[in-house]
Amino acid sequence: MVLCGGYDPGFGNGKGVIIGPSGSNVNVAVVPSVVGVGETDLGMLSVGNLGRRSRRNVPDRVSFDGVTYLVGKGVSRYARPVQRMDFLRLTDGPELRALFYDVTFRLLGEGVHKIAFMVGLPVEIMADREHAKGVLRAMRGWMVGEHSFVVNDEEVSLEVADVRAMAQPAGAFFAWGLDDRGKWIRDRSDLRAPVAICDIGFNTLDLFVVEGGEVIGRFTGGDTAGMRRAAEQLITRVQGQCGVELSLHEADALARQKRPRLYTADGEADLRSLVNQALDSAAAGIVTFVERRWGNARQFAHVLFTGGGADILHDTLARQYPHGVVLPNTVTANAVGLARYAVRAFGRK
Amino acid sequence: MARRTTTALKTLKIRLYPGLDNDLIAWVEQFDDQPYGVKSQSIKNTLRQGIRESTDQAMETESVLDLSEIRRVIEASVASAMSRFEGQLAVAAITGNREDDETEDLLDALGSALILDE
Repeated sequence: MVLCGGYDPGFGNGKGVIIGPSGSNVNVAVVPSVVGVGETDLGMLSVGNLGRRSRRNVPDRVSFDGVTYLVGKGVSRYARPVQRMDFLRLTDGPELRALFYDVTFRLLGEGVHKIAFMVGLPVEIMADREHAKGVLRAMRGWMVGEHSFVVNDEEVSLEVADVRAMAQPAGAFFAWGLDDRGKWIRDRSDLRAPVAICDIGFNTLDLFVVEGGEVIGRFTGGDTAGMRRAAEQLITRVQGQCGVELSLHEADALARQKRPRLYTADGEADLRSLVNQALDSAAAGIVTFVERRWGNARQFAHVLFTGGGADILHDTLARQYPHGVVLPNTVTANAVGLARYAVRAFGRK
Repeated sequence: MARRTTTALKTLKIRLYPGLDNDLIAWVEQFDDQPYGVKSQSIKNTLRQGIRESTDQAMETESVLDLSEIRRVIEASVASAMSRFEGQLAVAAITGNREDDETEDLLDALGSALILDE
């Protein structure tokens, strides 16, 4: 039996959703896009952990082709994380594979599995047809086929039956309009009306508008102005003020904390004001980009905000676009919609 | 002067006790590894779903009270309408199918515009 899935390979997190037959058993997995080469076994040093030991921050160990990669939360505690931000990162490479394998493992666990995936690509890639085709060709090249790998000592045998791609924010549109069986559940007029989606990811800011079954190019576009800008600014400010160098993902995690604090040689530093400055500046950049394309966005029947950044900038977005809606589960909305459309696209084959 | 209504931020603090709330503890713990915000969103969604379901149940209970009366009236109306509008009912069914087809066509058109072909 072939399962239908959605895969959203974000720069912040790899998100995957699998939908079982007839819309049953929906599994969702989110794994931070942090990969490094190293070991989590600290030998006798591990014996020093007394009392309740939290495994929360121990990354997953993903092994294939004779190499073990650390993936997900806590990688920076054990290895130097790879921080590739270019779009070529999406085509192939051990980091992408390790992340994909870990997401699949978290969705389905050990054993033998067969899946067809709808993959989401950033609008900036999709807007250039030839580039997009090249990326899809490269992704299909390594994804379609049989894979054997081991995650945390558990063996997985995976056959990817098919891979197709669409723009990441299209996933949010389908998460909003389709149910888990791939059926349209909103009013039929919503399929004809102009619906705008703003997807604020870690590295990408995608604007996407559909109306009457077509993508409206005038209002659609992408930029690398996502939450990464806030993380980069925080890195610079923390480096200047505290002399500590943060990784992009560490800075992003701090920006999401209610009480961002950092231990330094000078003691515990309260980063609240630095985080607020970085977020304000990123929000200003995002709102400027959206305004340039959409104006006040009142020409759209529905305005949907999604992506991990939409949660953080909720208040700014609500002030600027009062008729806009921040979708529930912004981090996974794209992957959910990709999986729901996958049920339509692959289920009919 | 019109009174201004403001909605203040509400913070919920709930204690879950081992033994009494094991099911809830297990449910909440599944979000521990998730990114910031996923846990709150899931709790909000679950609360909303629960509220929606209990509202639906309440409405169903209300409707049960008048069910026999409603059924009697509807059966009489349907019997009378069927005898007079048999042809029109068939047309209505066809229109419903046509609307479904149109939705499917729009979705397919959108899908073929969105899915990237090699």
